[in-house]
Amino acid sequence: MLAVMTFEDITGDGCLWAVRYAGDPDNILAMTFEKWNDQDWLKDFFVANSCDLSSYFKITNLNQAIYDTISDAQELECVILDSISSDKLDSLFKPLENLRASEVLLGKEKAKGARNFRHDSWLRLYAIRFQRNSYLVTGGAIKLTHTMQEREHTLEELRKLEKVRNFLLSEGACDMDGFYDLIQNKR
Amino acid sequence: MKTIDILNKYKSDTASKWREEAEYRRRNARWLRYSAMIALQVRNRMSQIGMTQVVLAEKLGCTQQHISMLLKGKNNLTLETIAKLEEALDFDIIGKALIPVDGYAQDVTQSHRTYLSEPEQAPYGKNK
Repeated sequence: MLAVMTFEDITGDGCLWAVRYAGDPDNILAMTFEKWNDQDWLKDFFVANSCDLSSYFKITNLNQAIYDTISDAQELECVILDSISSDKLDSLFKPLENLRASEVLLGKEKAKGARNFRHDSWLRLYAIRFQRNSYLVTGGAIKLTHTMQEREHTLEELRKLEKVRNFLLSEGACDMDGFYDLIQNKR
Repeated sequence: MKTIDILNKYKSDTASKWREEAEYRRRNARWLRYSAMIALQVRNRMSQIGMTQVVLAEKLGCTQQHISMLLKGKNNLTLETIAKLEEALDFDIIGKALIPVDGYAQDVTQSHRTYLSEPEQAPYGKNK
């Protein structure tokens, strides 16, 4: 039976992984940045989501949105590279729910792009945290609305997080050592 | 079972190239941004005057695939290519950004103008 997903070790040391969904040409981290640098894809996306762009970010110029995305993606990529080399992935990723009060096994996390001089970054990476400073990227999205539930493409990212987490749990994932370590060394 | 063991159990056969590509994009960030900006300007101009990729390719004497690649904003464009794009689309991409020396002609897009006065263009040692 073909696996519904495989995993790629991004850093080579087991700290940052990315899911490669069945049928995809590459892992989701590489595919996400590829899209965020593809002007054809970005144009189609912002045309389809122009209402959110103007109502939430007050941006009506699609070229500005495309340029900001490419620029923010470059910045985010550099932050990831720096976080990898300095073992600071825990500083990059934050709990998906802003009000999460306690640590959970295989917690759902997000990484945001830094604010540019015009507006907050709309770029998001989504990941599962499985032990201290160790993450599995499940996807990424351009989030233009307040909540992820409001739009299909961000809702799909929630489904992917759940699907990957359930897959790991079904395989018997239970990092109790890492979990205790995580509680004791609260971020 | 530890998650890392599950990840290794289902590890992909192919190695990820993301880090390598990201390092490349970081090393070349500045010109990649310029390339993206130029591609955006060219796209804008093409839709403004209703020019297709096929027509632009004909004017530049290249293939439509080449134009398509160029419009992705990842190509290291030569000055020659940029100048040809400016001519084919009859608009300015970088000309206005090139600040000429004080006192010389401002409009670099007009080929009949020169930066140097006639005596200055003459080889050294002459006209003295």
